[in-house]
Amino acid sequence: MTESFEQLKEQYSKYTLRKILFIIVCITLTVTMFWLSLAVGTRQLSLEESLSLFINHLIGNAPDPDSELWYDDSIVWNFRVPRALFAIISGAGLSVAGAVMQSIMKNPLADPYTTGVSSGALLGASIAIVLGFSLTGGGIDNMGIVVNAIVFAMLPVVAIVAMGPFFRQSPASLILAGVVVSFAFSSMSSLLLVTTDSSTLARVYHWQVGTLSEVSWDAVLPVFIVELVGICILFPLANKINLMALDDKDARSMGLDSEKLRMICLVTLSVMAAIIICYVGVIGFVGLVIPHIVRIILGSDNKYLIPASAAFGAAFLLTCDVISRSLDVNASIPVGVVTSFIGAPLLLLLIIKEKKNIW
Amino acid sequence: MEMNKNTKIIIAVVVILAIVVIVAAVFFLNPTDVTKDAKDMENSELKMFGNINGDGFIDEKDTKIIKGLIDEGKTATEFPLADANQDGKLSQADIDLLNKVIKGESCTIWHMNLHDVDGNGTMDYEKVSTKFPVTSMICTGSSNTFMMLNLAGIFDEVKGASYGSSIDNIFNDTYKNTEKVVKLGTSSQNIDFEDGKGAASEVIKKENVTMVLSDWNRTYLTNEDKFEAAGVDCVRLAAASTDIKVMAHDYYMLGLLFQKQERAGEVVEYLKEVMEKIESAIGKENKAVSAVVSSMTNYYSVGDSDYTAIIKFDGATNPLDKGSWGGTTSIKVMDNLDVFNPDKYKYEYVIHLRAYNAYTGEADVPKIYNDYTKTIAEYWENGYDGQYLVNANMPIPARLAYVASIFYDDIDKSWADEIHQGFVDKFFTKSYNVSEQAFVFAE
Repeated sequence: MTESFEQLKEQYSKYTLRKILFIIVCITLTVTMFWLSLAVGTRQLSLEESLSLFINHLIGNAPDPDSELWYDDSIVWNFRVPRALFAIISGAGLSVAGAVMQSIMKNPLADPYTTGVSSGALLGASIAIVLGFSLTGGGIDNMGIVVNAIVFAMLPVVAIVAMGPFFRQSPASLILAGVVVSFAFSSMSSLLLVTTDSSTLARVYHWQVGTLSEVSWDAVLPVFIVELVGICILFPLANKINLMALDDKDARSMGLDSEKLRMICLVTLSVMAAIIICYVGVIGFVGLVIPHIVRIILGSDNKYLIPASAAFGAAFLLTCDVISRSLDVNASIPVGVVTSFIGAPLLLLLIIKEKKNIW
Repeated sequence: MEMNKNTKIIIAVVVILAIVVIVAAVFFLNPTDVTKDAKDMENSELKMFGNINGDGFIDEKDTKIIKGLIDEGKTATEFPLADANQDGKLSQADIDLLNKVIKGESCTIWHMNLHDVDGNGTMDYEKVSTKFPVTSMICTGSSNTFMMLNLAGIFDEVKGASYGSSIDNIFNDTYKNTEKVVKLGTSSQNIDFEDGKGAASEVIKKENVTMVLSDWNRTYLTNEDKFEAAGVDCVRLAAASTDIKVMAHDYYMLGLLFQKQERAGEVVEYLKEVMEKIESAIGKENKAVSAVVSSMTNYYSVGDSDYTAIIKFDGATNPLDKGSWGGTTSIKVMDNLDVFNPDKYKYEYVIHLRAYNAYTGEADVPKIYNDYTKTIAEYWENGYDGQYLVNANMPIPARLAYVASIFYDDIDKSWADEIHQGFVDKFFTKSYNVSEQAFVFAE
């Protein structure tokens, strides 16, 4: 018996080590990609130059505005660093939100946008860009779009929470409610977009696909705070979220209020997704695919799935952004296009290779 | 003691003479009343701080007036245009700055950008600073911007531009020559600063670019703040304006920044002459023309845009002004079939303003005409009758002249050709015979 206990312990250690190793590899990959991302872009800088500019700025040795290095420092510090940090934070946030959404909805097709936050945000942004109206009262400057997007993104969530008592908050009903609300908001956006000119339409479309090209330092701090708070709320709930894989009645018999937990998670991850969307548009695929890939590799234990999704999501989105900036074409490629282009075959490959049913 | 009569007369004459001398001295010897020469920004041809006399140039006349204002103890609040360096006071520093400009020495000037700052679709003035002089710049390349730069004689200074496929081939050797001008994307309205390989940050560093030129509309250069953050000044003009005051500012500003004032003066002089000629030919009284404009396939322009301004300048009324179109500047006709209901909107002409290769005669104009007009012809009561294709790749006054020749029987196309040819002969680098090409077309 002692021998089998030791074997079991060893197996569990290996099981845990594998997961921790995966997370460490993802973090290492993220750090490496962060360095690479400082050197990749329109302005041609070597890895050494970009790292030196970054470190010198970090330790307070930023070049003087009149110096030869000022321009390159400005490129690295004001464009590439915030963009890379935003990719890391939003990749982690969207992946965690997707993993939790899929778990609480018990549905592999759920993603952070299932509640309709993306449709709401799109309507808010469209109102700002097409009609020139923003809730800040200041026309369509970037802050006008951001504020419109976040306020309108939260409307579907509020609607679903308010409607909760009417359909007892079952996962299927919540998803259906989200789909209905999404359609309602999308139709309003479409109504606005069909009447506008092509240049405005292109601007909305760029936002709709999701791009990190407009990210500045102003966006990094609020997104970091919201994602950090969101992950801090969701991660301690991992064990309870695991229990939600059971039937609601069984979960309740184990002392878990599934409906209440589902609503807490729903609101938290919707806010996490909304804050990202409002700054960079709808970056698709990350919240849907990353948790699946992590599940295939590590299993469905949310205690590991949540941090591993965060680490892998950060590395994935940053890598996609670096690729989008490296392509030698005469136009900027939105990162949302690259995430789908790389994520879809990657997931398909893993499904075929692993041949296991993760749900 | 009593003065004799002669003494009285002498005293009277002396007193009168003294009064006359004093009055004359006040009028003639007193320093010039400089305030009467000071203009405000609205009436200035070159909307730059320091251009106190409101003409198109910065010269000694301005420094003289500002010196007078300083001597008289005037303040920047009273004469904001005299505050060249925008430090809030009138001082020798303003004169020193203008002297640097006159000598073409490096400095920072303050001027107005033409920009829809509040996003309400109308042009506003936006106070900005720009490093002077400019020897290297990039631009958003609409047809109108390239034509404006072409007329202003600015070629080698353009190091990068973003532009679409409709730009005329007459610019193949200049702005479209990718060996000289880096192509910064395919949008005529926006340039990415630092993104993929097609953005601007590399050429900015390599070519020491200090300025990015764009248009006043809010859809142009939406990422202006990124250029400014990297030390690249954004200058916004109105390349498609039909207002001679705005046109004058465009060319004077370019002339100043690029040190081509003489050329700018010639262009503005000719523009004024031609615009006056067009206005007098149109003679807007007793004209009752109604027209709409299309600048995109199956779209009509609405509201106040550079396109609708063309027909309005030529004395036409735009019946679509009566409608409510939700703040956009163009509407899709298939989504607004009411525009074909003559009881609601009646018009005689549809002017299709489109860019195509007219100068070189390479465009298949009948095909272009057919592509742009066929859907409208199916729904509009007049069919093809009244639908005209007008080339958008030409100087604005030439465009106005051709449209006027469409509207009015007493204005011949050859008259418009003559105006157009004048621009080509005076300011183009190559010679073209415009009367041989289809700048206007209808079937």
